[in-house]
Amino acid sequence: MNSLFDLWKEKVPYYDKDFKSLFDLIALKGSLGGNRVGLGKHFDTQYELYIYAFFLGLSKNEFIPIPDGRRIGNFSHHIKFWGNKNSGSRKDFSYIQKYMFTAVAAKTEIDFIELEKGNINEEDVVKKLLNTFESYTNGGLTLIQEEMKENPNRFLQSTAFLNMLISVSKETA
Amino acid sequence: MAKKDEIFKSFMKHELLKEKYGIDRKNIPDTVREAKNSEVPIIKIIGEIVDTIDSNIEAGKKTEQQTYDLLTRYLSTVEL
Amino acid sequence: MILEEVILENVQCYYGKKTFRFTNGLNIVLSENGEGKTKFIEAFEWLFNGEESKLESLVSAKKLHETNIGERFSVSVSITVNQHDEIKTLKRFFIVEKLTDSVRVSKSEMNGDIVNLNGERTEVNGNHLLESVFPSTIRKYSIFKGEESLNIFDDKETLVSLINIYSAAKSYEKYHKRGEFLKTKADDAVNTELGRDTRHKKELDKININLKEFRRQIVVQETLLQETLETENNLEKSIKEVESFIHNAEEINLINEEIKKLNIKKNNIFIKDDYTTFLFDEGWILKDYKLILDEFTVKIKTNYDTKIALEVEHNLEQGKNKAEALTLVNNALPLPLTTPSKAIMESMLADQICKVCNTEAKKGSKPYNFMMNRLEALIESSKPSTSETEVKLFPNNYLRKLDYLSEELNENFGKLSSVPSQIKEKLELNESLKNQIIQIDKEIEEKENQKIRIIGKSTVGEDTLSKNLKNYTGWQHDLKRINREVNSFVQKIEDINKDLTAENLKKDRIQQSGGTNTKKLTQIKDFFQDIAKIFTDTKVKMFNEFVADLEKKANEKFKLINKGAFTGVIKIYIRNIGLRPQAEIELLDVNDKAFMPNKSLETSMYISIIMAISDLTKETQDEHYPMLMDAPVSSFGEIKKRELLEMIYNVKNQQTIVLFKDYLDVDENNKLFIIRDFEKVKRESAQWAKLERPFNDEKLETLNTIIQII
Repeated sequence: MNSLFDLWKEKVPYYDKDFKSLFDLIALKGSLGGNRVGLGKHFDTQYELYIYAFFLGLSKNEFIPIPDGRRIGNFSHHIKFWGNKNSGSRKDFSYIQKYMFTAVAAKTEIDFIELEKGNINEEDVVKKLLNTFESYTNGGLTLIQEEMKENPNRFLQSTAFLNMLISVSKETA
Repeated sequence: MAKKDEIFKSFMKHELLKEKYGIDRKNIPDTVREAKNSEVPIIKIIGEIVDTIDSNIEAGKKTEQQTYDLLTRYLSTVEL
Repeated sequence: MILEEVILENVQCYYGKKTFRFTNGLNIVLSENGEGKTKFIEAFEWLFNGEESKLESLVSAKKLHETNIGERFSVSVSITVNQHDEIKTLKRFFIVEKLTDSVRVSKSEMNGDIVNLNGERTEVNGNHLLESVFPSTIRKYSIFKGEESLNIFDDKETLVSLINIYSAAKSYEKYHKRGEFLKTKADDAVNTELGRDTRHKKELDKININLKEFRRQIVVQETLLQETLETENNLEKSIKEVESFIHNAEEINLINEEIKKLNIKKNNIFIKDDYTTFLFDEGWILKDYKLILDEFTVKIKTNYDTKIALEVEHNLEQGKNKAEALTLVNNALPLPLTTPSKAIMESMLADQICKVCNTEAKKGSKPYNFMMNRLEALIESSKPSTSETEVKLFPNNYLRKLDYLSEELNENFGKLSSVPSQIKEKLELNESLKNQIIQIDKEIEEKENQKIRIIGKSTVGEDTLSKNLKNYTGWQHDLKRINREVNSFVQKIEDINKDLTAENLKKDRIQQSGGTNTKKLTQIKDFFQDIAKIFTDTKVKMFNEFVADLEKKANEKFKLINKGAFTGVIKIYIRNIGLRPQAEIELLDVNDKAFMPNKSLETSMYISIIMAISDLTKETQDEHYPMLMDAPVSSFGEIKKRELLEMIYNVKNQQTIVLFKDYLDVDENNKLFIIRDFEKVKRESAQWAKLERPFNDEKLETLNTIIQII
């Protein structure tokens, strides 16, 4: 029997189609970075942005479910592959999958008892988990987009995304 | 010491005086006034010339021509 | 001659009558750039050179502004000096009449008057008085506007002129001339006498013709030699200029090397500030994750506990005995069946002891049976359900895996707890590296500015250097050729002189064979020749002695100004060539090799020489004159300025007026003040020429310099 985690990480999460331009704007396409800084992108891959947006939405408690009919974007990259690096200047951060799952599980209303009893289909649970995942991410993306509109200069700093998430350093104007 | 005496003394240091004219150091006077009274022609002449040029009194100064005349007159009379 | 007063009336920024008072010794005038410093010297010079061309530009805008149309006022510069115990005043002035749209200025006039010991005043011709008060030959070497003008010694004849002006050698010139006169006159007398003697007339005439010809040739050669020497002088000047560029170029090369090193240092500093990436690669994204993890842990635990409780209940329903048998003492929540494991249970039963609480569980005892029941329940629970009535309450066990996950993450979280300090350290490190780079950038900028200053001071830029280097090699060639020409002229003159001497010898022989009169006149002539030689030799000796003393004194002052620093030794070479002697100044290092000094060393060298000349001639000179220097110390550091002023202060009986913009600074309200250090500067007088506040640079009529005694 697979764990919920195993089931969940087989999925490919979606995002609101309105954010496609955001993805293209600040994330490189493809699996491994390259000329990220030169092209003005902040993220080496699109799923990295996804991860970031998720944590952002999570920490700011921005839970915004994707409206119906807008769920179309994905990058055909199963969660289980996220963070796997075996070359280049990046380290492997596949550990992140467990943490995302744990956060998602913590925030999702699951009747574990019924699940253990077998009265609820695990697929439904996984769907719910995925929904939580997508909704927090959606919230995060919304925040990012708003901030880029209001404060575009902020994103010239290398500390921009770091600060947005965990407010550590002084940002110069 | 007056300026003219200083100038006079500086001329007296020239080696010609000793080498050609055989004048001893100690026989050289210190002042122009003394020099003018000297019986050694070259000392007297130099003293006179200094006096005609750097005399303290305006009347003492003489032109070149005057100097020449005065000196040759004297020199004609002495044994050189 | 002591300059006692300089009065500027309505001259440029000096509105109304403004008086500068001076005394013997060191006088300092402090003035910020643009507040009257340079204008003072210009006005002073105008008094002497009386340029008519730009009189309008001398008029004080403020005075003009206040004057009504049709009214007049005067613009003047006057000086009062004390010379030979007489007070002499010179005033150059002109009248300004304000018209509707312009001004009318009169021609300038010069007034002079003398007040003698008895107090009697006499009016004299201004221009004559001017020349006697401050002769132009002396003025030329007494007024210095800035460091560049100190290079009067670039011209080889300058130093000689100065020495001749100031030294005792001047006095000997008269004797030299007189000696020559007497000699020539006596020679003429002999010739005239000889001429009467027809015996030797023919021979004598021939000799005289030859002598005349030789003398003419010598004159020609000496003129050519002089011209060549001038060309040589100019060439050497050009070469020196380029050499100073090369010197500059060397300085610049040095600076470029330093800049290169700094850049390498900078490039070796790597700032890794890929913070967005660190979020993932270093786990920074999990900085505040603990809460979530706790939430999860609690949730799983709670659910797991609930599940177990339900399971127990269920088991109770499913099999009472078994359930009863498995109930705990105080109805406490039982452990999951799998804990402890089957193997552990079997071991405890085998050893008949509860290994958790160290109590005996002998076979058949209550604890033993309890453990046995438990083990059986465990074995049964892992068997697939055989009977249909055997219904498992919880067929799924997702919670267990979630529990493991929770354990795993909690264990790992120890590592993650260092993330906050990691982030802090990284940010601080990057900040300090950034500051290092900024510091290096500052240093590089300073060096670039240094380069600009050096290039700015020279008249060519970095690029023109190569062009000059090309000229340089050509000039060096030319110089060699000219040196050879000079030598050939000198040689030729020597040869002609030999011929001259030979002819003169012939003449002497004839003179010897002459009559008594001739003999006597010849004796007189020889006599005068000796006297002429004594005079000339003494003159040269006094000159050389002066130069040696000058060299010594100049080096003393030189060391004083540059206390503690390596200076090299000043050497003055006199070359008696051509019609006029020449002097060259060089700076020698410890190996007696000439080297090029930097700007501040060169300036202090020239000032040392000028001051040494003045110092030495106090005894021998009839007269001394003031020296005016406008800020000759821009290349000097603080200590060197102080040493220079101290040195000048100590030169006895020399009036020196130095204009400075140093020792002035602005406070936080942008107000000018004199810095404390100035109190320590020894001087006979100090004044501060400053613009009255408030003023507006663009409105000339607001400019009014006032003089404040310090």
